[in-house]
Amino acid sequence: MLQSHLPLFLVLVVALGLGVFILVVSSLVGPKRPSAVKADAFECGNPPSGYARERFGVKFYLVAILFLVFDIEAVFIYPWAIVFSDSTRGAGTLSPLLVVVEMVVFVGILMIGLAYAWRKGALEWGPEHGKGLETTTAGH
Amino acid sequence: MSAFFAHSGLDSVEGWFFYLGAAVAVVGALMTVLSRSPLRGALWLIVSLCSVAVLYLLLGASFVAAMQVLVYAGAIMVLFIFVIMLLNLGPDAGVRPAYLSVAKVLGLGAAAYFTFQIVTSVSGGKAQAVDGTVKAVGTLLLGNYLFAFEAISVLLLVAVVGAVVLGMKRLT
Amino acid sequence: MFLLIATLLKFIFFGLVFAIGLAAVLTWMERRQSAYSQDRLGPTRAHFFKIGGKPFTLFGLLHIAADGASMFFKEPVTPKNADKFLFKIAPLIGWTTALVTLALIPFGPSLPSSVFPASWIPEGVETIYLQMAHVDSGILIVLAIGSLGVYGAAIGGWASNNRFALLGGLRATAQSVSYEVALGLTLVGILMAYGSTELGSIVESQNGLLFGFLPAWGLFIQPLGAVLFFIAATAETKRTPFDMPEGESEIIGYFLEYSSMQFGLFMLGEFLEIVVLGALFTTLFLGGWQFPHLIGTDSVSVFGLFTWNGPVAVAVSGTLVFCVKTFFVCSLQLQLRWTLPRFRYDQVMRLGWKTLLPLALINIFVTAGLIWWDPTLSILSYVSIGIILLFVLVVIAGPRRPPQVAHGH
Repeated sequence: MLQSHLPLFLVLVVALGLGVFILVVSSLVGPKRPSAVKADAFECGNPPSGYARERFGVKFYLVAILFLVFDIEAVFIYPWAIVFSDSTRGAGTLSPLLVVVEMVVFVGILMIGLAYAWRKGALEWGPEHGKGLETTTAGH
Repeated sequence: MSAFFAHSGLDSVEGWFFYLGAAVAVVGALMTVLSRSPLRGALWLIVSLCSVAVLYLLLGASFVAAMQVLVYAGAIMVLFIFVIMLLNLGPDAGVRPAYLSVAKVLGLGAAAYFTFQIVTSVSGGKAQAVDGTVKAVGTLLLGNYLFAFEAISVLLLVAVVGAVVLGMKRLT
Repeated sequence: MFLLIATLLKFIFFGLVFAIGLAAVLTWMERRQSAYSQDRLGPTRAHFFKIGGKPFTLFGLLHIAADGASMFFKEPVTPKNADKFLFKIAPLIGWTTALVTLALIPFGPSLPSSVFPASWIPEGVETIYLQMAHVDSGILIVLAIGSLGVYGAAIGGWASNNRFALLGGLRATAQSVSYEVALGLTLVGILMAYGSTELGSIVESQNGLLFGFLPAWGLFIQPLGAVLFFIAATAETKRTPFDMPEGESEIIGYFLEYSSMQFGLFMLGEFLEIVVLGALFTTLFLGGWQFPHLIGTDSVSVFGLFTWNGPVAVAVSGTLVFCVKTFFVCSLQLQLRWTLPRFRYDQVMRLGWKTLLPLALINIFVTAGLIWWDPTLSILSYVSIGIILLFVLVVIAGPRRPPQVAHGH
């Protein structure tokens, strides 16, 4: 098992080494004339204002959660695809009907989640941001 | 000397990779805890998770190894890094409450206890390689562990609903 | 030892010469193409000597060398309050993940070890793969390593201590992960059709002909999957029309504070990513090194005019074919830059979540149904050809905006 994966580690070491080598050579041959202005954060020529690490919208966090859920869904679909492919060709121990029904149920349940997020406006970024919540804010 | 190498598994490439992977995993985990900067800590955790994938690979579980990197190092850690970037706590913004020294002692004690338990329970046996190809895992998952497989989708559904409810709350 | 030397040799040929070489040429192509689109000359200055009084610039190709050298001799600036360690390692992440992904791609057909001198090959090795790592779950490892690539932008943006860089990093990460889902799901059709996760055997399954003349490539049995994959891959490379993370006219991007070769590695890593995704598209949807009518199982023949027999002939021409196809896909990606206007960020997110993701799931279930109906894939190929013809018809006969007349004075 490890034998066939060994080249991966080898390439990892070589690629990383090459990258580090490039950076080291660059920092060795490049000039070093530091100045306070040069080290300032670049804000299109204006003097930088305030602390750069501001807080950002929670929207990014929602995207990350949704990504995580659908990434895990994909992880379960990959082995399913292989097993399904085998079962249609008569190989393997499972019947194609069972395999398909299992995945329809699995993805079906997750689709409820996608539909919910969709309806609640969790996938909206533009002017319609938060559209699904208007009913709760109405009444002004 | 050669007996030592054979006994400890250092006479094969696999043995060397095991010790390397295990060492990097432990060092990565330690650095995660010891890093003052949250993002550095997250990066060390990624390193640690990737070296656990190497250990899976040594056990013959190539599918689980790939998924360990894809899901843990590639997806869950994105979530961690997003949280760190959203909160944007600088390296010295961490609160250092008075009970931290008590927590240190308790944490060290727990770590020692678990280390002892793990060492005593695994020292006897030798891990056996399994058939961990995509096909074998898929057949087990869709056959023997059908219920668990379907239950996962419900769990993921709960995660989506929970995230949307909590994340969209402030807009109302 | 054999493994070490063989891997290093393959890495030098496929990684350094082909991938990094192509990435460098792509930077030049991009500049030439931009110049052509904007009616200017583009890179024409760099030269070593003159021929007949004119500088010998090789169509501007020497600018690649000039750019590289100039980046090495620039000062690497680390901004104030930056996390120095993270700032330095961020450019390495994208570069390394791109090169490691390359290790799993089959550049050519496998060779029997008997074509090499017996003293070179250790006992027990019967086939030499023109692929650095021939592993069972190849495509899954590609996705796994690819998913680590997003940290380059995120960490680079965060470590810079610059609000624009941080915003760029956040946007880059959110966009990458959104399209990663679609990218992963579009592959499932290919996995079902060929029943393997090993990239070499996926390529080998794409041999033969459909209807007696059409190559049996993934494109012709998964047309929707191929289109979705191409769109998702373009979004992953963060190029126009998906270049919000590095919108040059507004936030500049997560590499805003980077200079000298630190920036160079970011840029080279990005072009490498184009090459890697192009190679992956070729492998999955364009039959990899296969080329029916030209490359047979044991001989190469150009319309009967020229024939070359033996496994070496197949391997050499297969590798060449693979490189040409990859180059073609990369050029297509470059074409997009001056063809399509940039999206707004909400449009990008909507396209990823509300269009690509549902379409990818529909594609999976339709493909599954058609494979279940006929495991020999012929019904799937009929339907797919129908879809392709429909695409073509819509593009030719579909509604289009009337040409805008310029108001001259």
